[in-house]
Amino acid sequence: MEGISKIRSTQLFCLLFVSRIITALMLMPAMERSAITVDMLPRVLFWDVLAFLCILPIFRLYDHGKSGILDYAQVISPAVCKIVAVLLTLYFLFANINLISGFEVFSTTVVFPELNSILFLILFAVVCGYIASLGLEAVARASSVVAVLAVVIVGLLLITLIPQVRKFNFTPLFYDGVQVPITAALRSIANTTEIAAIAVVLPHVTGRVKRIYAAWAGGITVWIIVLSFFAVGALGAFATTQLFPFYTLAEIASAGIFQRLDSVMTSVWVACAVIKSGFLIYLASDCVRRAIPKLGKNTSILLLSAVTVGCAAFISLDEQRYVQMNNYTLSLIIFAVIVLVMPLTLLLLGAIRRRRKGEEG
Amino acid sequence: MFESIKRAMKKSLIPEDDLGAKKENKTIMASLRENMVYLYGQFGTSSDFMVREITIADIPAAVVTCEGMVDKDLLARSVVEPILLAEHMPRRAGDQLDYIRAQVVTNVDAKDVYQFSQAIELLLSGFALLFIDGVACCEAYGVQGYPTRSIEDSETQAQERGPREGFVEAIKMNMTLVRRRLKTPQARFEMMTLGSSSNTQVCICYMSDRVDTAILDQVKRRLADIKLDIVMESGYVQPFLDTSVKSMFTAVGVIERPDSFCAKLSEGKVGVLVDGTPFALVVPYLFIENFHSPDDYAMRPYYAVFLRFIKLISFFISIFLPGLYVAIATFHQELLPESVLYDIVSTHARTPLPIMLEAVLIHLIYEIMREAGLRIPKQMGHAVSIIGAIVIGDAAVSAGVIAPPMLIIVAISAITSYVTPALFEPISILRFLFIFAGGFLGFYGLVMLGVIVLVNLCAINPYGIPYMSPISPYYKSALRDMVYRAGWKNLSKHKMVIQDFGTQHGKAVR
Repeated sequence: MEGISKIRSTQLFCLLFVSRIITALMLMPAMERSAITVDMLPRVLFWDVLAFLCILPIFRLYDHGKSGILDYAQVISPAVCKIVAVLLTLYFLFANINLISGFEVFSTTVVFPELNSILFLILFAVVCGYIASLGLEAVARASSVVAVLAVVIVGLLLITLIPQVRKFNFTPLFYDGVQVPITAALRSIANTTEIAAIAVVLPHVTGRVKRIYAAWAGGITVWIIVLSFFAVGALGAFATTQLFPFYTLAEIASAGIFQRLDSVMTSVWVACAVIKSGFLIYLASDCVRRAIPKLGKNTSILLLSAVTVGCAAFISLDEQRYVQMNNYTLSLIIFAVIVLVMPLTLLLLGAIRRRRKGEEG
Repeated sequence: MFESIKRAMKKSLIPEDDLGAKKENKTIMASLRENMVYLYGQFGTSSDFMVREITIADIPAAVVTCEGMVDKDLLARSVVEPILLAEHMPRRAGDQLDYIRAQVVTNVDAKDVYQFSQAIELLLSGFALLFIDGVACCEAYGVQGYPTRSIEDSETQAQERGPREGFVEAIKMNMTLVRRRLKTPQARFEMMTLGSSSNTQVCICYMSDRVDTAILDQVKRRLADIKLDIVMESGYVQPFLDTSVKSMFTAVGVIERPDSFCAKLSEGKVGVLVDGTPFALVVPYLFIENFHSPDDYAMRPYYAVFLRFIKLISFFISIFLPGLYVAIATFHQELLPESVLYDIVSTHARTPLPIMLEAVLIHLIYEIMREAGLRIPKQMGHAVSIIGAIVIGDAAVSAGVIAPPMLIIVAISAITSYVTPALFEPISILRFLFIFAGGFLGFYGLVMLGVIVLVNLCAINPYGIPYMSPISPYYKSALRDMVYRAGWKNLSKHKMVIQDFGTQHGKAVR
């Protein structure tokens, strides 16, 4: 095979950016029991702070010999590495199932009601599995193109909405209290799979990763603020009643004689979702092969894709299951374990190991 | 003397096996008779194997040629006549050959041959072999005179401004065309032979002061690993030099113009000439190069940029437009203005087939007609035009079998595909795939397939160079030559070489 093992830091930025774009676009106020209001600004700022706090342990791990979380665990002991690998595999699988089931709900509810859900899931999983099989570098390079296209397309779309923005739609900050944006920020951080992805992918990145993280966090902040500005300004209270308010923005957008630009927005969503899902499958495959080295790359991707399809179908076809899967508390606990508890535990174990070696030495 | 051997072979009195028909690396013997027996054993009763017996100062000798491969006048004038008319010819066989070599034969292309394998290879390449009884070697003289096509303009890579010379089938002539343009000792040619039966000559060309040695070594290794029986075209060799990622797009450039070929060599790339075909290969070849043409560099920069932009747009139109039309007409009618929507609906309402099938059918008919136009004898070519224009273009629409908008879409898609002939093969297939994707899943399908194609392109890493550079990964300095074309004053400040797009791990791998 052609030797592909490293990506640039700018490619990592694009990969993370695309991954976060789709999460932001698929915001469902009904699921979050929140509103699309001016409080999106403090929400995203709180998210920035939380994300920064969560990334610190991972960068601390990275500072030890430029290693990722798995390499660090391997140094502590192979058994610890396997445990970490299994946990990460399950986490990325969970995230992917969430993504695909959410996207299936979007597709079959809003866009294509007549679309067969199972067929859609299978097709989506096949496409994403193929993309994952081509490797990290291919996905990262493609994400660069998709990121640029997404920004351009959505940017142009939002420009067409400028005449529809109304000042009276903007409510005062913290209109419903401070608790709302804090809770929303916690919900956002709970589905920020990118931080765990950074932990796994770091050894494969060349360049200044910390700066890229800062650029990514800043870029996402700007993205969400701009999207929210238009969602609030153009839709107002109507946004909260919509299943996918950012999709509704595209529905009311028009450019000259062309109206209903939601198909264009759908294209961006699909592209971003495919890239993200492919990336998540790749990460899960990478982790599972650290736990089970004998498992081949294509076999692991096939298995993971099959599990994803099965679970996503099981979840999305029943509304209650879907709601339970998107339970905020569950997601937050899982996130905390993977992104905070695990790296901190590894740092602690590493420190103990170094002290013991120092004492023995 | 040797006619008796030939007659005996025809009567099967001397089995071919006994005459050394086995292909061994046998050394040429001192006995003229034994040498001839061996050669007759190799060539059997092949009528183009010619032996001219001569006597040089009472010592038997023979001139062996392959009829049709040699220039008989040149052979007679520069080899046979001087030998026969030579004065003071030594009486000893070994001294005779030295004398002939040094003072008799006027042909400058002469070499000593000691192995039969080499002798046969030269014989079949148009050399004449001189055997003298008592000398354990032969002298090979380059008197090639096989028919070759004259140098003409390239038919597949036309350009508006530039030389009117294209490669031809003869590899030596192609090497000359390259050497005329790269008058530097750094331009190197390394020959090798491929094909166990065809023994086709292949030439690896590169510029030693700028070539990536890792890429060069890899090309040599891949060519050496080829185990083919015959090599009739460079297309036989191309898959062995291509990327290992399964893709419709090739990472090997196919070039018919010597000026383009030399330009690629000057960028540090490796070229491969194959005897018997005017299509040379160049590696590594990037995706963006499919939108370049040699006359870009002969034109003013603003126009060259415009042309590249046109080619890029044409490529996307040719693959996306039919699928996009099908997707919009089937699933996303809300995108269209009412007036356009009404026209499309009313025309398609009269046609019997669903829009997707209609698109597939028309494109299939177009591909059939294109292939027929390519293969049909020229005398009957006008019939294809009549059938295409009148039957398809007029009668089918009048009968309501197909809708006029669909015909317009197909025509635009076809015309735009001709703008980038290098991408003709993937465009033809991708077009159909996008039609199916758009017809079944609308924009979803188009985008999913588009992302698959994009990731597939990004996965290709020919010889460690990213196929999609300088777009992804992004190389700002390369944009001035690869994406748009800066002026020569700008380009002359730093010559772009392929190492500028190097891998992140710094070495070319398979």
